[in-house]
Amino acid sequence: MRTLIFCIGVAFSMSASAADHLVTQSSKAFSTKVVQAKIGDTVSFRNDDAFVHNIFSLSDAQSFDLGTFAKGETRKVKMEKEGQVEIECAVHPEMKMVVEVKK
Amino acid sequence: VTSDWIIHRALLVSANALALLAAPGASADSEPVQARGATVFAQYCVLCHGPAGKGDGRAALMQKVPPADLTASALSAEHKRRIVLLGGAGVGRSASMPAWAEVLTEEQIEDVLAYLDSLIGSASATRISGAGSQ
Repeated sequence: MRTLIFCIGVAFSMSASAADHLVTQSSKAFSTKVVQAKIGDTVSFRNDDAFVHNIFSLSDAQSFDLGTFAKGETRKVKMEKEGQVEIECAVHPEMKMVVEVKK
Repeated sequence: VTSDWIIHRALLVSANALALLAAPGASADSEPVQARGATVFAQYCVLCHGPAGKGDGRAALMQKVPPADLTASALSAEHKRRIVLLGGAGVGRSASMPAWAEVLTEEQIEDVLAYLDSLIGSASATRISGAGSQ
């Protein structure tokens, strides 16, 4: 019973400390060029444009592909490692930003 | 030299010029189209399809379905056009290929399709010359 309570407490404290950083995509631009996050934080990308966007990263720190998504949709990624995570949009190559992930 | 003769010659020259421009594969017309298409390809397609169109772009490894090798594509021009316009999901293929109809202009799409045709031609030439050297 004590173990169960301990695990629940740890899980609660972890989820409480993790933040979600919202980045919007509007007029073919990210709402910010840099997001500072901690390991375990999430970054949400919301498409506010009338056309599709895409989110991916090929960074050494973390690579992922959130796919292509339409207006009003949001895609989320959890930051797993410390380092610079460069974010790009495959549909609009000029769109770039960085997530700086720290411990 | 009468004025009628001058007008007649001018009409002949104009007709020949128009015929040259309208001829299929006329280099004066097709080369700029392919060059423009190469620019579009380099900006929007190279990420997945790679600089030579072989499907080996820097984002290719992330894809569950490998990007198409455009130098070896047997698809018809119309099918390629539909894939470019509607994206992979629009034609029952990989959803990783975006629909470019709302991103690129009609001219850009025509240009890049012309460039894709040139990739097939260059790949065939390479294969033929490669086969000859073996």
